[in-house]
Amino acid sequence: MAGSKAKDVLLDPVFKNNPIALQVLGICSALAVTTKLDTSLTMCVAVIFVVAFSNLAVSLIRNYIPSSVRIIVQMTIIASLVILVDQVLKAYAYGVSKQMSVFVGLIITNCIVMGRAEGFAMKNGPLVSFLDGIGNGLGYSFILLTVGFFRELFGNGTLFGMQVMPDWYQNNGLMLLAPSAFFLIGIIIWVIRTFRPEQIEEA
Amino acid sequence: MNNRDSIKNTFVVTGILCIVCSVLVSGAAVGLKKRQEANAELDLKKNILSVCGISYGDDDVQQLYESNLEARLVNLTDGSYVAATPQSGQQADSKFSVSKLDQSETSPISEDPAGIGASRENYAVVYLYAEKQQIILPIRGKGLWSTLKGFISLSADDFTTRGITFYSHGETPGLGGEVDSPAFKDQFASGKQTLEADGSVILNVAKSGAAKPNDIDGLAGATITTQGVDKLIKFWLGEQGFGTYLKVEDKFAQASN
Repeated sequence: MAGSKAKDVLLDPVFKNNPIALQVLGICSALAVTTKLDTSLTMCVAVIFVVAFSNLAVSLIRNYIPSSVRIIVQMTIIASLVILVDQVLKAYAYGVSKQMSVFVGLIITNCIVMGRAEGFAMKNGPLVSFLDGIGNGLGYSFILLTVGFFRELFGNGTLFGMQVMPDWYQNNGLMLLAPSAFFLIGIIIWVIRTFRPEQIEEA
Repeated sequence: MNNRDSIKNTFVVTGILCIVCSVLVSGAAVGLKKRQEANAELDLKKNILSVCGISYGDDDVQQLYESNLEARLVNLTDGSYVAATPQSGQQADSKFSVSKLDQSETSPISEDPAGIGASRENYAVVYLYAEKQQIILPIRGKGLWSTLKGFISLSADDFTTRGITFYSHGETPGLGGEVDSPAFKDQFASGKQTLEADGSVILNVAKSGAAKPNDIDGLAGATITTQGVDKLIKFWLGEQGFGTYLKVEDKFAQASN
């Protein structure tokens, strides 16, 4: 039972309860960093790291956090982790970190991180919270990478910077603008809900 | 339960948390500083190479930079080369910092079109690209939100532009941020005229320009950034900027003192 719960916690957020597709959280960064796959991937790794470890940290001290300041405590933990990620990126992936500029810092305000800390880690044990963080990070990553894949492919004709589209392909500049990410996320939500009709909200 | 929400416990928990978090954050900042600075320096060199039109890979930046470029410290007041700044003793390596200059090494400026503040440094580092006879000048100035920092590359004999790059700016992505786009920068690579014989700057960055050989087509939707680029180029190439230095003959000769 324990094993299957851990698995559910880890994998549910990818399709069944995807933070972007179902809960429609964390949209802002999904629009901003997905013009290229390498920035999308870096963002995914950063978010997985931050959600997982903020969940772990919040869960570890959940019995000591005074309820009056719990949001501030969570923010402090999240902000520290994000600064950590930002510093590491500046040291080891300078080019990517420069392209992502403020959006690494904006992970602090990513609703997924805050939402999981408040909604899950405050009530559950450290291990399962950690897995929940990874799961939600993966769910976020799944959408980000899908969007990034299509935007880079049709917007630049490349994948990870390598030319894949044939010469006659005229790059579609719209794919590099924020609205195209909206369209893509909309289509992804549509596809997911076609296969999982239980996600459709009543009108 | 009561104990957990008591005022004492609140202070203890938040206090400990703050200490742990600040140790973590400052530890990372200090521990990674060396690498970050090395990265920033490498990035600067990449920008200098790109403004020269030298293509580089990930591994040969350092080597290409060293074999092609030479950094020189220039006294902006009389246009001569110097070995080091007299007061603060800085040299023309990549660690040269305007903020480290002694007060006596800056001059007040009467007009400040580029928005760089009330004074301008007396010394600046320029880069010489001997093979193609290009001089690379550091430029900076205010755009809409931020100070644009970059390099402009000029041909040493007729001062036509060879390239421009902005390595640091905080303009709106997609609008003013396009100063860093190839489409905008490529206009400079084609050799626009910058100076009249008397030293006045004739290069214009303007809306719907590009008809004349001294016009750069500005950025649509980014009027203030465009004006900022226009003003900062006029300032740095003009009398108050590198104007005096540009008049000096034979910039590729060895530095004297």
